This record gives sequence, structure tokens and C-alpha cells, in this order.
Amino acid sequence: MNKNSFAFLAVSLLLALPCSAASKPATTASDPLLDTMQQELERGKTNLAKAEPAPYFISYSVLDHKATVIVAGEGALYTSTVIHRRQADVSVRVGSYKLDNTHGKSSYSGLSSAELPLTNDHDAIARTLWRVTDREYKKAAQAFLKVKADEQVRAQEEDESDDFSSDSAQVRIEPDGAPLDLNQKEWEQKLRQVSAEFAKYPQVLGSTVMLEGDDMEHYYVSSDGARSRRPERMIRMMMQAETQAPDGMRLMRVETFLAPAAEKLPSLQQLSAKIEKMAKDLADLKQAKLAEPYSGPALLSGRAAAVFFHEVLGHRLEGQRQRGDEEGQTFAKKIGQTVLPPFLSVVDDPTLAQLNGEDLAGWYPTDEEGEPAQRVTLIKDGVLKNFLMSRMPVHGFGSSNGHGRAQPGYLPVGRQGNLIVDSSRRLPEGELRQKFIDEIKKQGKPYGLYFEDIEGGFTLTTRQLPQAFQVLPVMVWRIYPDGRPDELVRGVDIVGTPLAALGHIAETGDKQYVFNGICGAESGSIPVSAAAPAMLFSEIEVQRKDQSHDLPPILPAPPLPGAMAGAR
Amino acid sequence: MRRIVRAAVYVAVLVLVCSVAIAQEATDPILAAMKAELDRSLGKLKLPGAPEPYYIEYRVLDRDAYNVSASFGALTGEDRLRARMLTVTVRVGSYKRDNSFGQGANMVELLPFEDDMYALRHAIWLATDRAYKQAVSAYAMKQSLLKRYQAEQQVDDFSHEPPVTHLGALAKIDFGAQNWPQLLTSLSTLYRDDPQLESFNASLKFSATNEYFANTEGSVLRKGRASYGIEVNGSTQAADGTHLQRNYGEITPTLGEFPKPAKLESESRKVLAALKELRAAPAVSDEYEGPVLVLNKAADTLIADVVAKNVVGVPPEPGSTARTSGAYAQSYKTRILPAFVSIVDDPTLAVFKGEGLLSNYEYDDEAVKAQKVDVVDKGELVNYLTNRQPVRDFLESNGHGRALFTMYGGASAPTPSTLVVSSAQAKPFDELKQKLVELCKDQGLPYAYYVEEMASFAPSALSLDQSEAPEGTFVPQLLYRIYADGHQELVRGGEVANLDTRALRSNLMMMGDDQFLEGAGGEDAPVGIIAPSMLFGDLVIRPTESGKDKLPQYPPPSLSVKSVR
Repeated sequence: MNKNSFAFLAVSLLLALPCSAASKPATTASDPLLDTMQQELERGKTNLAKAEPAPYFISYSVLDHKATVIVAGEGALYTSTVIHRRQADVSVRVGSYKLDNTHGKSSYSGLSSAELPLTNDHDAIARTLWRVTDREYKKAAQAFLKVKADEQVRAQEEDESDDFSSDSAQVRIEPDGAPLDLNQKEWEQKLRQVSAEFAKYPQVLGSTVMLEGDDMEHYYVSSDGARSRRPERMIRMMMQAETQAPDGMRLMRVETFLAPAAEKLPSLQQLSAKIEKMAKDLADLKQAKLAEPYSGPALLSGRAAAVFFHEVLGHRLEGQRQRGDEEGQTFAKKIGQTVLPPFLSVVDDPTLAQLNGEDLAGWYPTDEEGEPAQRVTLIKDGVLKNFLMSRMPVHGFGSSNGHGRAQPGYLPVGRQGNLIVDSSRRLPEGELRQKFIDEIKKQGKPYGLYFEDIEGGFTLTTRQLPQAFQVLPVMVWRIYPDGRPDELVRGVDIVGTPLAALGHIAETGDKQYVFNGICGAESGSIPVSAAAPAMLFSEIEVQRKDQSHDLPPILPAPPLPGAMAGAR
Repeated sequence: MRRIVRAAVYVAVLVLVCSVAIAQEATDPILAAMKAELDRSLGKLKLPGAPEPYYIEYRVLDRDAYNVSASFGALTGEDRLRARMLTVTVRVGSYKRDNSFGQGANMVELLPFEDDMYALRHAIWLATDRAYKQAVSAYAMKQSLLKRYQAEQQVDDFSHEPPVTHLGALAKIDFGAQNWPQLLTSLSTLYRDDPQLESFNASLKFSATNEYFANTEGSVLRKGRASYGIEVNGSTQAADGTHLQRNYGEITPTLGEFPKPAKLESESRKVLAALKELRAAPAVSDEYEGPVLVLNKAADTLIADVVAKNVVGVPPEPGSTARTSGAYAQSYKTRILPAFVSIVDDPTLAVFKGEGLLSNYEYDDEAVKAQKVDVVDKGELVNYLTNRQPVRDFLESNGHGRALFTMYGGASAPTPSTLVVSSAQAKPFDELKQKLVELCKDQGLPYAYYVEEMASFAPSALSLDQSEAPEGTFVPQLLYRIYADGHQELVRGGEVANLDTRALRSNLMMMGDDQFLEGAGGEDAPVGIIAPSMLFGDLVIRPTESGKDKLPQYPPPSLSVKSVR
């Protein structure tokens, strides 16, 4: 079988069943860029072996990224462009697995980047890689001197784990697949249309619709023998609309969609319906009562619970957060202990491309350190079992479990992929609501709070705004036990560490909801998913959010052109 | 009184001559959107109990940019980007005292790049509302700040100017017939002649910029310009680890003036040759004090760094009694240069020695007519370059308000356009060189220094506090020793240490008759400097302290055999 027909077969399989089991990666396929990377890496390794200190590890990671970005507002385009870049990240580690130049605050020395030619010009690529490797080596050697000097004067560290794990090197060449099929002109027109929809709703002050199509190819080689290539294709669409309450409070609704291909994005009709809902939410929010300080039972929708778990639990289970002076180390010493009610289990499984028929954004076959993705059981029946591990060990966990993730230009650290919360207590959602009302009555509260939607760092916007850990309730309702209609409130802020609330989960629903988004943290922004059932908390404490005092616009919006005015 | 009469006459004349322009204005969608929002805001945009706007201004910059870059003979990027940015300025209070701090008050927002009236007006509406609220709170802050100073501020915050209407032609990028990515790739392939290069790259930026302006005083302005820029950069390391750089760059207002491929290739080869020569050149190891000759094309850097940023009328900090900010704040009507030197700033200059000037304009970014201004007359500072923010003795703009469009603010600031430096006793370059050798002999020095090229200058001409190097420090890219017998020797790793305002005033001995044009100042507010060669009697040249690094740990990869072009 020649290479082309193999690729064709693999592509059709991938399209039919886009999960890791579908592709049968080759281990020997030749690729001009990988070959140049490999050659230059070998040359660097051999030559630097004579240097003092000599590197014990070198890796080259290249991302070929073609991004199509279209931004529209009120029916007109703000941006429409295609940008093609290739970036190389070179990592050099000197010292030993036990102690190297990335130790503690010197992690910056673990990576240097440069732009690479867009064509496979061997000489130009090799020369650029040589230059970055030399620069990175010098940075690493310099930092290592400082690390060693610091070691001599500081007290013993609490976690004496190694700085790097010696994990198995992966050789895995994924077939190239078909390029991302995104017709720029066609989508420009769609975004004009979609963004014009918001003009129908006078309560919407500003709105933005954005589409980003990423056609990427990841290349990786390392001195311990790893060699991989994998495509990543993703389209992200985001709609954002805001309004201001009469007292000046800014209110925002965001909808994001992630899809592996253009045809999997929602139709114009579906988008219209979403926009109508966003506009209705904003109109309701604008008139909603301000939240009052409250402590008592709360119900989280599946989507809200998924965001909550990603921000509140997921980030705190990242391996590197269990060591280092500046980390919270919330769970460092809790392995084997009960941290959630016993009916809850949490896994992070980047090997899943879909859950209950829905595409998952946090899917990948190998991580940014060339390690194969793994399903990791983090919490089993309420008991903490594991962390999200990159190749940076922590006490008791000496190797990677395939969660070393990063945006290009950043050193990988343990991050989430697809965080899935599973419950053995599955109540139909109608019953769950009844339990909620029973609980409100039992506690003698005038009402309970239903969190329909929570925004967190990864539900919001773009790479420029990493807001890990943040939980911002946006659609919160008062549910009255006496049968009065539900009442929307605005300005809800969860008090204290939201983590404490996890212990108060009393019941869960029988359906898992998926949220796909982009998560920003110290290793940059990466696609992730979170899935969870609806959850009843016996207690959550909230207060009223600080607000801005800017008044709503003084003048009304400019008049709509004839056709659009009719729609309004 | 006289001003009001003048304004009235001006308006009457405009009404007569501008009927054509006004007709166009109505059909230009951006101007129409601006006009509609200005009309709607004036008189209605007010918060109860807060001061009303007395002035609103919109400026839109529409830029279409084409960028190509290549490195080591391969393409690294090719992009086309179109963006529109809006700057809204709202002033509350009065011309005498308003909300402006330092360089004014404004709000920058993105606008759609498509001519959709509703979308444009929608974005302008929200930005105006925000700008007004910001102005109101800034006004309150300023009022309380001013209470701390006893002395009454002597000048107004904003000058009165006659309204203008001017609709210039819109600019478009002219791509010509050349395959630009291929050209850049082939230029950067020249690195193959010198395997010791650290970097060798070529980049190109073509852009068309159209600017739109309207304010509540009735001014309407539209202007367009294109620019065609190219740069070739190379760097290498000398045996002692010093990093050496050379570059060639050209920026022209039309594609017709853009250098031809053959010229670009020969200039690129010159960069390569200079790097090779620099690598082999001896390093400056001792401090030198004595005469220094600066060639015309290196002198622009001195003028930009020492003179340009200090002759603009930027008001001083509140409470200060100075006239302006900067080194010449107290120098009005005093001698700042030798008596044989004069400097004018002339935005109306369109062509110099056959070369088109990017720094030429008819109206500045505040819709004030461009004016030729004597800055230095026979060595004496006679005028500051001003915009609409008055400074003592300069109560009106002289047409030097220029704006930078960044997301951090698009305020206009007084900025030079084209500074023309000339000498009443200009001498041929050879005479300057001869004088240098004479001085060298007279002072018993083995050699004197000659600067042929200076590292391209920092954007400090446009911002007062951005200079990285200490005041008076300049790094020549090409520095020669000229020996008593007249022969010259290239050296590297030297810097000029004390070329400041004092040196210009007291140390400048002679200037050449060889005025040379260099462009500078960035793409939003291009600045032109026309200056001749300059001979200084006494400057310090010393070894540079920075820019050294270990040599590469291992040799570069060997080149594969490729067919020669």
C-alpha cells in the first residue's frame, strides 16, 4: 500500500469516527520537517555533550498554524484575515533529572522560541534551530548555576521530587488528514448575518461575533527518542453580547461553540435561536433584582456544574500546584483521603473524542511533551487518587500521565483535557428539583438559588484573558418553595473558597452536560472540555458583587436602517 | 477680536470654494457616520449636574497593510491586514480650562472596516458615550489637582482654530507586477555567501492609510497616503563575542520610487560585505577625546534625538513655571546652536532632491493647516512646534499636531514634520574631512574618528521618555579612524558618549553643503530629517559596554548543495 492510499484510508476513518482508536499511526513515516528537526537535534546533542554543563535532555517542538480569524459586529466585519506561522520551541535541560535548570523559579530557562520558515527549506530551518538551541543552551546553563547556588543556601524543600521524569519516548506519526475546510468568504457573509441579528434587540448595547479556524500540525522530537506528528483542526465560534442595568451594572452573555469541522457548527437558524435567548437573558437580567447575601441550598445546572468543577477542582489537581512555595498545594497531602461525597468520581480523559455523541474539545492523542494521552482517575468514590501530571514529578507521582499541555511558546505543565464528573446517584432532573425544594423547606429558607449558568476563565473569550480559578455566576434564579414563579437575580458572587462548597454536594442529576472552551493558565491557552450532571448543594454562600457606577449610555442607539428596523 | 474676524472671513471663503468637497463628504460613509453622531451628540450628550462637552472630535484611521518576511532564503510570513481605528476626544469645561491632562483626552476603539452606516454609527455612539463619561471624571480630578497650585495657569488648555474642510484622495496599495515573496526570499538567500552570519532577513511592509476627521467646530478632513518600506537586516558575531549588526532600509511614498530588485540586491550585498569587514575590524579599546566627523546620513540620528524632541511645545507639569517640557524648555530666544546653523520645520515640503517625502502633509491631524516654521534662526531658538495645546507665548497651533494610533491612546501631540538643518557657511564634505585631519595633527593625536552610519534611531523623537541609552550616547554602525596621513581604518565596538545639547551648542564647528534626507518617526506620524555632515571639535568615543556574548557552542549546520541562482 503506498503512502497516499494509506493516508486516504486513515482520513476517511478519522472522519467517520474521530477518536484515537480510529487512526492507526505509523511509526516510521518520513516527514521533511521532522527529519530536519531530528538531524539538527542529533547534531546539537552530540556537540553540546562536550560542553560544561552538558544537557541531559533536548526537545524540539514545532507548530505549523494557519489561523483564519473573522470578527463581526452589528452586521459588518471588523477583521477577516488568514495568518500562517510556524513556531519552534526548543527545550534544553542541563544538570540531571534530579535537579536541573528549570527548578523552582527558573522554569523560564526551560524554553526558547523562534519563528521558522513556512516552507520545508532544510538549510533555513536547520540554521534557525541551531541558533535557538545555542541561545536556549546558554540560558539553561546560566540558570543552572543559579539553581545550584540557591540549593546550597536554602533549607530542605518540602517536596524533594525530581525536576523531570524519565518517561518512555513515543514514536507516533498521525496521518496528515484533510486540511480544514473553511471558506473565508462564505463565513464572512455568515458572520455579517449573525452579528446583524443582535440589532433586533434594543437591550443589547454591544455585541461581537468571532470565528477562529485553526489548522494546525504539531511536530515533536526529543533526545530521548520521541518523534511525533499530529494534526489538530478546530473551529471556535464565540458570540458575546452585553447590556447595562439602570444602576450601571454591566451584564454579559457569552455563547461559545467548538467544532472539529465547519459543518459541525450550529446552523444559522440555531444561532438565531441562541441569540434570541441571549437577548432575552439580557433583557431579564437588566430588570432583575440585585442579589442579597445568602447562605443555603443551591442547585447547579449541568453546564454550570461542569464549569464549576473545571475551575474549582480541576485546576487545583494540576500536578505542579502540589509543590513550590507559591502554589496553594490544596491537595498535596490528601491522596487517599475523601475530598468529595462518596457517590462522585472524577476522571480526566483526553483519549475521548466524544461523550454521549457530543464532540469534546479537550481530545488529543499525545501531549506537548510527546507522551501518550491517558485516562486518569483523579477521584474515585470521593477519594483522591491522582493528579494531572506532566513530566514534572511531585511527591508520590514520579511520571507523566499524558497531561503535559501548553500553548506554543510555553513550557508544558499538568493541565486538564476532558474533565468528566460521574455520579452513582442519578436522579431524574424533575426529582432533583423536588429534592431542592424539600431542602429549602427543611432549612427554613425563604428561597434557594438555582445557578443556570456560570462563566469561568475557560468559558470566556480569548487567549488574552486567562482567568483560571474564576467562577462568575451569571444566570442565577431564586426558587421559592411556595410555588411562586422563579425569579432571576443579578450580581451574585460566591463567597469564600468555592472549594469548600464541594463537600456540600447532596444529590446529582442523571444526565451529563458538556462544556467546551479555551482554558488559560500559566502554560498558555488550550482547548478543554468539562462534563458534569446537575448538582444539588446543601449550602452555598453568596454576596452581592461590587459593581461599576458607570451609567448606561445617555443617548439611544443610532436609528436602524429600514430593513433591520422592521425586524425589531 | 482679530481672531474672530479672521475666522469669519475664513468660513466665508470656505463656503465659496468648498461646495464640491461638501457634496463628496455626504457620500463618504465614514464622514457621514461621524457627522451624524456629532450632530446627535452635540447639545444632548450630558449628564445631570455634570459639565457638557464643548468640543467633540472623531478621527478614524483606516489601514490596509501587506507584510512579507523572509529569513535565510525562506519565507517566514505573508499577511494582509485591514483595520480601522477610531479615536474620540471629548472636552468638557471650556477652551480656557478643560478635562485634558498632558497630551489630551481620548478613547480608542476598533471600528468595522466595512462601510456599513449602522455598524459604524453604533461603534461611534458607544465610544462617544464612554469618552464623555471619562472626560467628566477627568475634569473633576483636574479641578481638585489644580487647587493644589497657587499660581493661576497662564495659558488656555485648547486653542481656537478656524474650521477647515479638505477632502483629499484616498490611498490604495499599488502592488505592481513583482512577486514580492519571491524577491524577499531571493534577497535573504544571499546569506549562503557567509556561513558565519547569525541572522539574515528581509522584510517588506506596504500600506495604505486613510484618515478621516470631523469635529464639532465644523472641520472635516480626509487624507490618504501610501508607504512602501523594505528592510534587510544582518547580524554576526566577532571573535571576541561582540554582536554586530548592519541593515539597509528604504521607505518611499510611491511604488515608482521603490528601489528596483537590482538595487536591493546590491544593497543587500553591501550589508553582507560590511558585516564581514566589521567582523575582521579591530575593536575600540581606549577612550578617545578629540574631533569627530559625522557624515550627513548619520547626522539625522543626532538631530532626531537631541533637537527634534526638544523643540516641540509640550506643556510642562502642572505647577511648573517652565514654558515647555524637555531640554529646551527655558531656551526660547536663546542660542542653542552655533550662529551659522538654522533649522526650519516644513511640512509643506513634498520633494527633496527628487525624493518624495512621507512627512509631507497639507493639514495636520487636528485639521490645522500645515505651516513652515523657523525653529532655529542663526543659532537661536525662535519657535516651538505646536499643536492645539498652547504653551506660553505660543497660543495657537502652527500645524504640528500629529497623532499616533495605538490601542493605548491616539492623542495628538506636537511633532516635527520635516526638519531641515542648514549652515550659512556650508562647506564641501572634503573640506570637513581635511579640517578633521588638521585638528588631529594640531592636537597631536594619532588619528581622529569619522562616523559614517549611526544605528537607526529610537522612536524617542516622538516620545519624551523612551530613550533607552543614556542621554548623549550614540552607537555608530560604521565607525572609522582617520589617520594623519589620510588613510582610514574601520573599527567596531565604539560609542559616542557625550553628544548632547551642550555639544551641539558649543562643539559643532562646521557643517557640510551635502544635505541628506532620512525618514523616521514610525508609520503614523512620519518625520523627515534633512541634515548635512557635521564636524565636532571635541567628542568622546569609548568602547561599548554591552552587546557581547559567548560565541556559539558549536558550528552552524553545513549548507546543502543548491543550484546557484
